[in-house]
Amino acid sequence: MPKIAIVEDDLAIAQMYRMKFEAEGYHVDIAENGKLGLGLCEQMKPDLVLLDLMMPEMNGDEMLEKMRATDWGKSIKVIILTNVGEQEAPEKLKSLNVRAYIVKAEMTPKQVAELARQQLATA
Amino acid sequence: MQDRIAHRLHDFDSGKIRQAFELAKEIPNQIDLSIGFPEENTPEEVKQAGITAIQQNHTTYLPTNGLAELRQSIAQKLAAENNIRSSAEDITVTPGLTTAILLCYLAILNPGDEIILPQPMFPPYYELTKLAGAVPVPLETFPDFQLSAELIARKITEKTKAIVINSPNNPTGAVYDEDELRKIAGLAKQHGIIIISDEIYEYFSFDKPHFSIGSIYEGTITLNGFSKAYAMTGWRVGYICAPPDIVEAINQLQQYIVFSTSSIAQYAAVKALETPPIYLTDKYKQKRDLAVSTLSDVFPEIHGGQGAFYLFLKLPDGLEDIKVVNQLSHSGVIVLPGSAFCGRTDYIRISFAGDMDALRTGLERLKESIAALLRNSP
Repeated sequence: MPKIAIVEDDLAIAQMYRMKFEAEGYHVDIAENGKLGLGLCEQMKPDLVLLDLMMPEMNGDEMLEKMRATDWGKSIKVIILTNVGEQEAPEKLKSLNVRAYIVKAEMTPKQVAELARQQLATA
Repeated sequence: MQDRIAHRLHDFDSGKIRQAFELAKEIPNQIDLSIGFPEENTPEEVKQAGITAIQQNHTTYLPTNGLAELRQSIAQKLAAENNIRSSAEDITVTPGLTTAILLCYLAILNPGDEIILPQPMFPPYYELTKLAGAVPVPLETFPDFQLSAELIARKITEKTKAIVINSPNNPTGAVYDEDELRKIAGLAKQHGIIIISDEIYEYFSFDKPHFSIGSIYEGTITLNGFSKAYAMTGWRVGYICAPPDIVEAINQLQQYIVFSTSSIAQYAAVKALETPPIYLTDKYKQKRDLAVSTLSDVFPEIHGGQGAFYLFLKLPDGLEDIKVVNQLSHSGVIVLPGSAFCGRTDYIRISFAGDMDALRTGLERLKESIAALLRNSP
């Protein structure tokens, strides 16, 4: 069963995606910030991370940078799901092997889920 | 492949409402602030009347204009509650109000005729006008959503055949004043214009009494139904009360378009008219008040909302309706874009018809989503 980690401080959003992905047969876990997200991913070794950027304790870009520096996390697929426009996104994201960058206001949950499915299906 | 579909549908647009339904289907455990029906269920005695109709084999065609007993009851209701004088012969029963709109249009509009459509408005009024070959003449009611004889007068031409009035209004919740409706009736009479008065939300008027323009102007076609007042949206039963020549024309159309509205629904509707409407004034007024008070700091100028169960909210500068709809959907909340109801993209429609707890949560998430969008807007 493919595993998805959702790292998102807005619990309403995280829960909605958890239910949506679980209904599709994925195993899903949630972390509320980057610090917890890093721990979750190390333990879970997910196939895909749905990662918010602006979060308390540790932002998503910082978490991703730390994850990419590890053996276990350097090739985990990551989709950014954020309110921050791509042009305003932290510069370092470009070098952190992000599979897709989604601004919440630009896509529906259905489109996000399709993108996640596509990423899980590709190498 | 496009040639398989008739040309009349090339610019026919029901997409934005359908998109919202599609969106809702994709979101688990949603808070649906887009719904157009009350939270209550059809009253038990009305459901039972439908069941009894089936058990007694009232399952065959009925007369095209509807069950005589139902039409008689509707005429009595219109006299008692709306001060509209009519007989059972002036009534025709339809499978819901949207079909009634189409039947009215086909009965009265010639190609090239103009029909004045206050905007924002329930989308079928606009799209079905085009389908009938007539010319929709939008009349903007921004920002307060009130309709006036003065505004209408500016749009009247020698081709004006009709005007649609919908009070309480979907999507704005505006309720028009009796004084203004009297002036509009006078204007219509002066120009020989038919008024189509959609009164489906008549019981949902919180701040002032509902007034039926058909009570003072004989050139009125009154549209109503059982969906909102008796929580019967799925039963599909509405009605038209119109001058005899128009009703006769509509009945001719119904004969070949509808043939006969559901017999089961009509027997249930007879029982509904013997039953108090589900509407509980305080309950829906409280929900309206909660919505307005919760949202007033994010939406400082809330207009309308005197009736129905909708608020049509002007978005803060720079925000676009579809983006707000998308943003909210990630947290499981469904609202409709204002552009489904008018040519503008700076409004959204929310419904406060649903459960109070869900409404409270949905309103908070709406506020949070707007705040998030504003934080990140250029």
